Amino acid sequence: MSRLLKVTDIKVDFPIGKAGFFGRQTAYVRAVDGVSFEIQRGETLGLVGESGSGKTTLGRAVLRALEPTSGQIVYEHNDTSVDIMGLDRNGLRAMWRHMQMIFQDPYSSLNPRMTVRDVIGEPLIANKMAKGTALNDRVVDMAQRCGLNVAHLSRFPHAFSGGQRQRIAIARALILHPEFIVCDEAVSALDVSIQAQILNLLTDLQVQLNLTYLFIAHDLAAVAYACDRVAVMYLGQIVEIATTEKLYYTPKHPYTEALMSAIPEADPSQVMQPVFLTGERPSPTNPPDGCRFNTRCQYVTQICRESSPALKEGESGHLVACHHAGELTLKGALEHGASISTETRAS
Amino acid sequence: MQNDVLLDVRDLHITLDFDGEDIPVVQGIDFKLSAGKVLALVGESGCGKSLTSQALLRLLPRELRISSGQINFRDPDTQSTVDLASMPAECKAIRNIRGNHIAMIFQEPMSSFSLLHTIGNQIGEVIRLHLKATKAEARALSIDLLDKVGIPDPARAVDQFPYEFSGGMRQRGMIAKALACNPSVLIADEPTTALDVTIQAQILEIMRRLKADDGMSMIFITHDLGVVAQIADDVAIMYMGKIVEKGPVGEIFKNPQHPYTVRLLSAIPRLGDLSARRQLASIRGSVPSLFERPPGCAFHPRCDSFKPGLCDDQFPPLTQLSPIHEVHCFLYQTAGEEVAS
Amino acid sequence: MTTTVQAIALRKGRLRRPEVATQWQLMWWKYKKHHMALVGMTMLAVLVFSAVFAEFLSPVVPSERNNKYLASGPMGIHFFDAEWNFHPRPFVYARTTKRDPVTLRKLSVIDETKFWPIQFFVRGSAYKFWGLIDTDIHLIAAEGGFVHLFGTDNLGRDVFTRTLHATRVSLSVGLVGVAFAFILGAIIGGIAGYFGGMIDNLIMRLIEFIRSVPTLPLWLALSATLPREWTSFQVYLAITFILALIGWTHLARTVRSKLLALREEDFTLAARLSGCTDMRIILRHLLPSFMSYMIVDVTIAFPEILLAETSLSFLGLGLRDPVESWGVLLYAAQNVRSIAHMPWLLIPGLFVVLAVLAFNFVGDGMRDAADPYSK
Repeated sequence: MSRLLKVTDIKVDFPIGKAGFFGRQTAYVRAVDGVSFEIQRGETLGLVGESGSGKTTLGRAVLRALEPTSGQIVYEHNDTSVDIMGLDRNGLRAMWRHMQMIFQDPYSSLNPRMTVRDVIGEPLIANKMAKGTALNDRVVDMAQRCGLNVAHLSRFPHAFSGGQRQRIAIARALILHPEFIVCDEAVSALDVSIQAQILNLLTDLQVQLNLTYLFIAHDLAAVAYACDRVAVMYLGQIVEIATTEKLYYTPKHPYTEALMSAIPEADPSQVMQPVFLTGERPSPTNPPDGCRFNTRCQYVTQICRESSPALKEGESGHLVACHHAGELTLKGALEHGASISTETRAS
Repeated sequence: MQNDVLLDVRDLHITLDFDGEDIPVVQGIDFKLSAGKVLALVGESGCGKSLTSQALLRLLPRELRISSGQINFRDPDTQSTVDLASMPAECKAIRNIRGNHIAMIFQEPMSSFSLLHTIGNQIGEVIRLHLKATKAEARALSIDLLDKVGIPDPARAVDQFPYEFSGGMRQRGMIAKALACNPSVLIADEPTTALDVTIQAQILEIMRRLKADDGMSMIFITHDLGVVAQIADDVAIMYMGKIVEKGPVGEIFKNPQHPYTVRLLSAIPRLGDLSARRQLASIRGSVPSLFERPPGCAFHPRCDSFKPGLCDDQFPPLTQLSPIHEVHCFLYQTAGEEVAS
Repeated sequence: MTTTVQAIALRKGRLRRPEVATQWQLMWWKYKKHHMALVGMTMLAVLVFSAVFAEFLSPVVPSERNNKYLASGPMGIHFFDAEWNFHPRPFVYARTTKRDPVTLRKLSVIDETKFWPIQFFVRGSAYKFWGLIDTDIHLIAAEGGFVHLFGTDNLGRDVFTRTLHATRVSLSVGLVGVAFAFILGAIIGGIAGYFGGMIDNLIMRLIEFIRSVPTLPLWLALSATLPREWTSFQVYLAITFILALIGWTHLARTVRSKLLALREEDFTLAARLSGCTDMRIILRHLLPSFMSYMIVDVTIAFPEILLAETSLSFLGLGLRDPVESWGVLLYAAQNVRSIAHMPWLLIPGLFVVLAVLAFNFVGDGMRDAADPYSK
C-alpha cells in the first residue's frame, strides 16, 4: 500500500475568552497539540477519543477546512507530493475535489432550501465540471449508488429520514470522485439499524470507488467493525495507534485500556469489568505537566509527571506514547471476568 | 397484583390530538416491574419508549394523553395499589408520588438542572417538599447523597452550580436528586446516551450498585443493546408503539424470536468479530412516520418473513413461547402454539 | 424532546405534499394558521387598494372646494328615510345653505325631504390617474348634489378624498424608506457579519452610537436643515432618506447575527468543501436562509417609518403641500378649535392607527412563519 496522506506535528489553537477592546485575542486553547500520523491508500484509519479529545478538530484540520495553527500536511496526488498548508485559496479549492467530508448531523449538513438534486449536483456546478443533462446523469448515477430513490430527487431534505439524508450527504461528497473522505461521526446520529445500512454502504463504496477513509467516531464497536487501524486521542494528542485487533485486544496505553474495558458488549453473559479512571478529565485550557494522562492513570510514576512521552513505535506498526509502554500488561476488550457467569445474571 | 410487582402497566394507549384528529402513538402495551429488577424498554427512535416513561409519571406533553389502560403502582406508604392512569394528571396523589416514590432521570444532564440554583438547593428542594425536612437536614442529606453517587468533596460540591460540573458529574447529581426520597422505582430515560463511554461505564456501575446494594427497581429506557445486556434483567422490545417481544435478558439475546429483534441484534457491530469484518445485517427501509403507520403489524414492510393477508391485516396476538418469553408475531401463531425457528 | 414529539412539531408546519414544498410554501402554510395575521393582511390589502385607486375611489379631486359645505361633518349614506321607507338605492340627504343670523356664518342644513341618490361610476371632475392617464370617472357621486363621507375642512375640501390620496403618499414614503433602510442595513450588516473581526467591531460601535441618539430631536434637526426652496418632491426624497438613515441599524444587526450563526453551520462548510466561492455561498446558501428574517424586519420597520413620517409632518417639519401624507393632513388639525368644531379632521389619524396595526399583525404572523424548519 502506498502512502496517501502524511500529517506532521499539527497544532490547532482556538481563541477563547473576551477579545480586547480592539478585538485582539489574548487567550487560546490548544485543541490539537502536535499530532502526527500517516494514512495508507485504501485503508480506513479510525480516530477515537472522548469529548474534548480534539478528534473532530483534527479531522477538519487535515482537510484544511479549519486552519491549523502550524504543522505540515502532505498529500500524495498523481505521483506528486502536494503541500496542503502551502496552497493558496484556489489551489486548496482544487485539492478539495480529491478530499471530502461527511458530517455527523444529517439535519444541518444539507441546505434545507435546496432540492436533493441540487444538493448532490452542487460540487459539479461550483467546480464547473458539468451541466445540463450530463450533470443530471451523474447525479442520478451517484444517487442510485447510494441507495436513493431517483424519483425523489426533486424533493427537499426535510422529506427524508436521517439515514436517507446521510445517503444524500455521501452522494454529495462522492460526486467528484475524491480519493480521501473524512467521516466525522458519520453514523453517530443514526438509529442502530440505519447505522448498519450506512456502514455497509460506506464499506461497499470504498471497494467500488477506491476510497481511503479517516473514520472519526466515539462508538468503539462501530470503529472496530469499520477500520483497519485505529488512533486514540486524549486531550489533543494521539496516545496510541495500531491495527484494530492489536489495539482492542492488546492495548499498550492505559487510556486505551480504560476505553476498551468500558465498551458494553451486547452479550449478557459477558459482564464488563471496566478499569475506572480516577479524577476528572482536565480542561484543555490547562493541560497537566508531563504526560497529560498522568492525573488519572493508575500506573503513574514520577517520570510521568515530569516529561511528556513521545509517540514511539513499540512493535511494528504499533505506536504508543507512554513511558511504561511494554512494561505493563493491560486488559483488552472482551476480557470481562474469566467465567461466563450465568448465575450472577439473576433472571 | 403479586406482592413483588411494583408497577403493573396494562393495555396502555397513548394518543396524539393532532388538530382534532386522534393519532395512536402507543397502542396497548403491557409490562410489569418486579422489586429489585431492571426492566429495559428498548427500541429505535420513534417507538414511543420515552413517551411511555413520561406517561408513567403523567408528564406527557399537552397534545398527548393516555386514552386508555392502567398503570397500577403499589404505594409503599399504604401498601395498596393505585391506578395512576385513572387520576387527573396534576392531582395531589400523583404529585405526591413524583420524585418521592417514583423518580426519573433524563438524558441530557446539561439541561435537566436549573442553572440559577446550586446543586444542593435543587436536591434539597425535593427533600424539603416530600420529607418535610428543615433546611439543615436537607443539606446534610444532600451531602450524603452526593457522596453516595461518588461526587468528590461533596461538602463543597453541594454549594456549587451545575455549570461548574462536567457532564458525568451532572448525571451523578441527577441520580442523587432522584434518590433523595428513597423511591421504590427509578425511571431512567436514556441516562447514558449523551455521555462518553468511560463516564457511561461509571454511571452504569452506580446503577448496578443501586440494584445490588439497595434493591432499587428500575425502568431503563435505551436504544443501546450493549447497555441493555449489561444492566437489565428483563427486556421489552418496542416498535412503533407496541411491544413486539418481551423476556429475560439472557433469553432475548441468546434466543430472539421476533424478526425485528433478530435483525436488530445482528445489526450491531460486535467486538468478537474483529477479524471477520462481516457485513452487518441491516434492516431495509426505515421507521415509517407516525402519521403513516402500516396496517396490521407495523414492521411488515421491512420484514423478510412477511405473510401477505395476515401480517398487514391485524396486529398479531400474544404468543407465550415459555412462561417468561412472549412474542407478538404470526410466525408463532399457527394453529396452536407452534414455535417456529 | 422525544423523537415522536419532534415529528409532531415538524408535521404541524406542513399540511399538504410536504416533500415538494419549497420554503415559501411552508412559510405560507404556517402563516395562514395565524388568524390575526390574515386579518392584518386583509387590512393592508384594502389600504393598498385605496392608495392605488385613490383618484378613482374619491368622489372629487383633493383641491376642489365646495362652497356649499364648508367645515361641515360627515354625510351619512342611508337606505331608510325619516319615515322608515326603504330605498333600494342608497342616498344622502340634501343640504341647503343658510346664513346663521347671529354669527353670519354660512351653515349647511339637512333637508330631509329631498334626496340625492348615490350614483356609481360617474363622470366628475377631471384628473390624471397616477399623473399619466386623463380621465374623469369616479366611483361614487351624489346625483344632484355632493357627498362628503368624512366631511370637509374649513375650505370645503373633501376629507375622504384627501385621506385617500394621502394614503398613497404615506404608504409610499414607508415603502421607499424601508427600501433604503433595507439596502443599507443588508450591505452594512452583511459586511460586518461576513468579515467579522475589527470591521465588525467598528460597525457595531457605530450602530450603537446611532441608536443611542434620541430619534425625534435628530429627525427635527435633520429636516430643519432642508432648504426651504426645495421642491416638494425633493423634500419627499430627503425625508425618506433621513428616516432610512436611522432605521437601517436594526436590520443590519439582524443580518449580521444571522450571518455569524450561519457561517458556522455544517452546510456552509460543506459548500466550501464542494468548491463554492464566497460569493456563491453568500448568494446561494446564506442569503435564502435569512431572507425570511429580513422580511420580518421589514414588516416591523414599516410602521416605525410610517409613524416617524407622520410625526414629522404633524409637527410641520416633514412633507409639505401639495405632497400630503396623513401627517400633513393632521397638521391642519392641530389646534383646539379644529378638534372642537371639526373632529372629523382627525380621521386620517385613524388610518395611521389602522395601518400600523395591520403591519404589526402581519409582522406577528411573519415572525412565526419565518423559519418553517424550526421546531
